[in-house]
Amino acid sequence: MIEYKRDGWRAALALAPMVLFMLVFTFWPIINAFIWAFLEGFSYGGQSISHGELGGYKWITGGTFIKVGIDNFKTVFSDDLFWLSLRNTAIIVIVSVPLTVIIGLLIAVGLNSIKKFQGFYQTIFFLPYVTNTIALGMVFASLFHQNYGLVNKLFNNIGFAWINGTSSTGRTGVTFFSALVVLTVYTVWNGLAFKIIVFLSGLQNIDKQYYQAAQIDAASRGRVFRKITVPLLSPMILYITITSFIGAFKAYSSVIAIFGTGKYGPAGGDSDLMITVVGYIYDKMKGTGTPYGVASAASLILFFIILIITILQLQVSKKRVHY
Amino acid sequence: MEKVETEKILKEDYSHEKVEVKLQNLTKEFVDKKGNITIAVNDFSVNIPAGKLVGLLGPSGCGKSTTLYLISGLHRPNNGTIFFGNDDVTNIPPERRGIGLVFQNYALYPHLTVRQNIMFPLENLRVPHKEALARAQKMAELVHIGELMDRKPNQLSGGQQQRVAIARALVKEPRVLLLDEPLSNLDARLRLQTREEIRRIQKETGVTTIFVTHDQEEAMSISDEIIVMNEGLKQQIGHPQDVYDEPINQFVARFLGNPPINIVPGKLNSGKALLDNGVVIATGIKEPDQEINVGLRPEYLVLSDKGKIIADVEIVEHIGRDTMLLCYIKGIDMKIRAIIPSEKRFKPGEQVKFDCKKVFVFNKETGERYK
Repeated sequence: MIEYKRDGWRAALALAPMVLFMLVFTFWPIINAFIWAFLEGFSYGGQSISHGELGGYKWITGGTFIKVGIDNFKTVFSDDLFWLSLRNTAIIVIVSVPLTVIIGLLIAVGLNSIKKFQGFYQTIFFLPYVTNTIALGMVFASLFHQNYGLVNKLFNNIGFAWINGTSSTGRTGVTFFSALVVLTVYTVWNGLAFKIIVFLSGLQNIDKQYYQAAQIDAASRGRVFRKITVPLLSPMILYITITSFIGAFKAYSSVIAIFGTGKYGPAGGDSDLMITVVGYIYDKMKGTGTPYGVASAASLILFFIILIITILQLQVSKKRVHY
Repeated sequence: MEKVETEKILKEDYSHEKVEVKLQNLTKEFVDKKGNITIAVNDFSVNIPAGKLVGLLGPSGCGKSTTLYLISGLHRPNNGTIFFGNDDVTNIPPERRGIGLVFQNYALYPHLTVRQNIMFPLENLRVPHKEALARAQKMAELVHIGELMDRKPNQLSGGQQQRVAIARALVKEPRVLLLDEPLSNLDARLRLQTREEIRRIQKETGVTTIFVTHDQEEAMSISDEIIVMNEGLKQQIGHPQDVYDEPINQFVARFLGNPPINIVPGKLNSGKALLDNGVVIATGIKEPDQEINVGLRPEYLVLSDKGKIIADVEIVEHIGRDTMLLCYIKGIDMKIRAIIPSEKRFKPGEQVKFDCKKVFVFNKETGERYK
């Protein structure tokens, strides 16, 4: 047995770089977001601050004129684009989360029951997990491309013309529905790997004797899945559902990857068609007036939406999760 | 077809249909990843009488659990046949054999209540809800857990979980009940109590019951018959006392009995069995002269002034009911144990003389017993 001494110094030293990075790039921005969201009516050197000049830091450090209020929130709530982005995000969440959880669970159960080539299949399903989001997005964009996308060609050839596809130029045919289909397929597929890993490890931790007992008691496959697998996996299902909700609310890079950057910045492609809340936040940063304040306010709104939904899920799950 | 059969099994009144379990030339090999073959059960043939409680006994790794799983159908034999009564069930899957299996760790579904656990097998067979409820309640009362029906397994003690597992196994009225190391997860006091419970439940239902154990005392105390196994082979089957009194070989003699039997080296000389110190301990053995092992059960050693076995007391253990002496036999560098009445007091260093009521003589190589 190796004895591990409690060596505070070494541990602190090893953790220091990560802690430093998190302080600078995670915690400080979080604190700032709370501050900026409630600041209003700034000017610096007699000029209102415009985007892109790191003006935000000057408001804090220079402290020319600071007033505390909820102007930024009013701006966000009265902005039609915010409501559109929220609606888009909500649709993405509602469509993709249940799909990805259910498909992930089924694939994990399938993988778990495969005996031959299990490692091979697992590798295939885990690949997206280690592949870059943007690269995958570009592949999807070309698969669904309006003119020469493979999937679109396929659909058109069998008589379905309803996916008009995506394109970085000449996007005349893109509708919300077609964009949503593509985005959902991409989101579900991209998120699967991680969910499969979690479900699979959960499945492998279930005592085999439960299944043997069920077999002897003549339980059908469907009943075994419903009555044994799902309840025993419920902690994992809860974890995956919550993280999927949070991830889907933060949908952003997938949208850019597929629809590219356009009129509303890197958020919504050539129109505000698929703009999401995070896209809206990014978009506002480049605005005029108090851009950081508005973006921070929108961030806080998103934060509270996610917080409330997570709390609700935890409350509901208290009755449904067994352990 | 499948459904009809499960319903048939269910409807049959098991208390009248007591089936005999016949295992014929059962062999099970396991092959590991490197291709090494382990023969867990080797040409195992035995008839387990209908309606009896039978203990399958042996040291760990002797193939007793594998045999149980073969009977259950969770393992398939490489060779041999299994009969339940007149039905050849060798190729019938576990769910259609009409068995109840109680796992070593009970395998109760942790997310279901006791009632739901017991009802689970009935729901699988699509027994109407009301009937299932009634049967679950009846079964729970049989195993004395009627008032715990709304608890979850983790709110129960080990002994209570065991009862739930038995109730779940019995509720569908199986033809054969199988128990895998039923007492190994219980503490010593609960073990005594639970084994009596198993006995009582088996007597009340009359279901042919086979249980696996490595604890000889456990097996002997409640079984109608015991089957002793070693290294995949059947050693002996019979009434516990008969097997204890007339072991077929040295393995069985050593495995049964606590404290264990003393094995002392000796010789056969024209039909007379001599210990290595020259003491003649048995006569009339019609085998050629050879080296032998002599088995002396501790309780067969009787104090006697004319005793031929002379020994020096080394350790005295007072158990209460009787006393155990650990002593050196004169002339042989060996310790033996003897159980003597507690009123006889000895001190370490004193000399004792024993007669032996009964002696087992074993072939030194094969362990076969000479009579």
